[in-house]
Amino acid sequence: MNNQPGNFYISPAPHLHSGRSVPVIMFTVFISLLPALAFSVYQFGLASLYVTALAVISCLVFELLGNKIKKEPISITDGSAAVTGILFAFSLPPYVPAYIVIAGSFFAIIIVKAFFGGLGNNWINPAAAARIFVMFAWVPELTGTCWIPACTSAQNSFWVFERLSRFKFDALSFATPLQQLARLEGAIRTGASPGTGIYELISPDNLKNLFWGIGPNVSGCIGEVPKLALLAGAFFLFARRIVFPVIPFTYIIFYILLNTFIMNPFWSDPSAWLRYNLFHLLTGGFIAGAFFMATDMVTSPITPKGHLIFAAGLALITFIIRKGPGYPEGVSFAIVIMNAFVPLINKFSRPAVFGTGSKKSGEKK
Amino acid sequence: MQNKGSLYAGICPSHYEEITMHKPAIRAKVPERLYIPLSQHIGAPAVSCVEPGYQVKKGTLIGKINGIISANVHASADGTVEKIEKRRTGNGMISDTVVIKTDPAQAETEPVLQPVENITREQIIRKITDAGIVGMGGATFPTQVKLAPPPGKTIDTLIINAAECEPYLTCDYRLMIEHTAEIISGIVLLKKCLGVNRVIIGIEADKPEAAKLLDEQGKIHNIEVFIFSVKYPQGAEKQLIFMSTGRQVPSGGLPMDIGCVVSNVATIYAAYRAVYFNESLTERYITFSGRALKNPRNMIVKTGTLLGDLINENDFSDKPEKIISGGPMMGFSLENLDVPVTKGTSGFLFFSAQDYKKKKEYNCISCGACAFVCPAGLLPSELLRLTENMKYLKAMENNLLDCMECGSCSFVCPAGKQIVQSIKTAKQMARNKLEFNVYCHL
Repeated sequence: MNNQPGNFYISPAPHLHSGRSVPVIMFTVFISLLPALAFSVYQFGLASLYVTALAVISCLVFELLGNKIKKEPISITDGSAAVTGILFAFSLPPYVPAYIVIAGSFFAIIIVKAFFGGLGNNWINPAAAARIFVMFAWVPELTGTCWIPACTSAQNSFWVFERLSRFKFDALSFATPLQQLARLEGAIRTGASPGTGIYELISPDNLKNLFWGIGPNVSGCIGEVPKLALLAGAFFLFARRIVFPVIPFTYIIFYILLNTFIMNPFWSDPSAWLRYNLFHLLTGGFIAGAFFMATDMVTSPITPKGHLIFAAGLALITFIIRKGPGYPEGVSFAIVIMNAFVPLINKFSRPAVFGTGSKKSGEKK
Repeated sequence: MQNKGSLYAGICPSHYEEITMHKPAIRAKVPERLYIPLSQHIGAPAVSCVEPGYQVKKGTLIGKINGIISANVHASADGTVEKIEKRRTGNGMISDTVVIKTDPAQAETEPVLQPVENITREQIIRKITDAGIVGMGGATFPTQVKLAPPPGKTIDTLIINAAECEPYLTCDYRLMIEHTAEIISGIVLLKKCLGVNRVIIGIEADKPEAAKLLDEQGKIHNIEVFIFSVKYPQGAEKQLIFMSTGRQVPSGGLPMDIGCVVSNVATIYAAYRAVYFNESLTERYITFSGRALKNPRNMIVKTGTLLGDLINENDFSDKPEKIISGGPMMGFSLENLDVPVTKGTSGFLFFSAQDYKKKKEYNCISCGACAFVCPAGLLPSELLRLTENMKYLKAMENNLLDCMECGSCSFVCPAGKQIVQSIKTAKQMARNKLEFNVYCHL
């Protein structure tokens, strides 16, 4: 009787695999963010590339450090740290001191991720958490400052190199578009008639600038500016079936519904209403947050039903924060707050188990 | 013929069925020795009724049915019983095995057609029991048990499983092409035996020729052919019933609870041979496929033939790195060629190094892919977590036992987790733990 083990590889079934692994997913997400980065370099100059590279590299270094301290296998090759880095960089303005980038990366990778057990065990999105951290730790550096292209002749030039070489920025201390809108809306609520300011803010030209991310009066973070490139990346992810479109679209639809039915300053003017909603979606990191941060697999629910609840919660919290008087943005807060609800949502959004009668019931009992 | 769409969940692996689909099956040579396991089915092993030195003929009973859920085992060629020993079968179980030294000259007997016009239901079941017929789709459940539902259960639909959803395997397809008329006669026989009016053949869209043949020949017997778009695991019993009739087998129940009986085409063919020719189940169609094989093919093989007698070095075009008994999704990988063919063996696959990758394991990133594809509507990632933490009873509460081990979750898992293997372990551990708890409370 020959029971000697042969030279064959033994493994449990199934013996086939789809070929999609964690690094493949992370790499695809990374790729999908590159058009936005390229666009941002076109708009802001090499500064945004420096910030992004610094964030990615420091995230990788901290990941390695975390692995060394915890004496676990090296996990930088799974690509999740690089994705965190690029997403975090996208939430920063292009001219930001290097120490802020490094501190944010430390917070994202060491405190949010490594302390909780590495990839898959962090309960909040590291990039969103890091953004909130740096936002509160360095308030003057990160809020109330807009980076406006100073050289108008270079700004109108199509050629990238010309733009890059002749590009300069002026740091102007004035409110971001969303802050302006909040201020004007607040004025309306206290009884003032809607002046021309708010209509100017939501004028088609201004919206077009916000969407394309080019032109005067556009301010924001590296990843907030090129909306078209962000959307292209997001649709690439949908096509590759890395991300299900449930979360971003539910988020947007719920947000518009809330914006329509609660405290809507444009009841009588449907075209202004539409532009008002578009303005909300195009500012404050909404697109980047909805399509890239909220859809982070680790910190979003498992089932489509859960995705729906999660996105509805996101819309509600964003709406409350934005309508409140204190702080005009709120996407990253909404994401972090809803991340905390994910285990609960998972518990109440289980799929129907086959044969328990909760799906389409049989013809005969 | 009706097109019925595809399963609500599941996966679409590459199918590789073209490799062997269009080649007629070859009959394998009778080997020098046969190793016939007495446990080739689910349930109690058959009891040996031969001793070393006995002369056996093809079809001689060597293992006798033992209890209700059990099946007869027969010699598959003429020869002499050499010994009875314990051996490992393809699925890793150890079974008593009758070793038969075959005669060099096998008696050629023409099968005699039996009169079947006035055959009764009891006679059909008797013949099927005697022939040791089991479900040949892989589960190897004794067929006579399915055909005799306990009082109180009425069967109204017979579903023929011709889906063959596992990649690579084409043995059922070859059988359907080569023996269409016999399969239809077998279906009519089972229909009569169960007293049902409705017969549905469920087949996947990648076998249009077989579907056409079955439809043409089955029309006069009022047999419906349902075509499903290709998706794994459509050939799973409960999912096939749901797609054909819209009924759900209740959790923990059997198809007969909702008036259905499901049978594989190969089983039907074996039942036909048993009733029409009094032949016992001693051979079956087997697919040999995979990149490492020079000549992938289907073969008609006698049960008890060792894989090593069917394949030798000359058959390999590449070094086989992994050998699988059964389909690539639910089959077992073998450590050597020393494994006998049994009634439930549907194929042997020979993978070269490029066909499989040793998966690197990462943490679960809760992407939800496993829940998305799970045809049982479970949360495999959660079951995995509970299993990793050894909370088997908690996993039981989360419908652990509803998992049918199709392997779709492991197939899609980007973290490379062996989810289905963990669930199999958990099932076993949960059963042990339950028994232990009961024992402690006595």
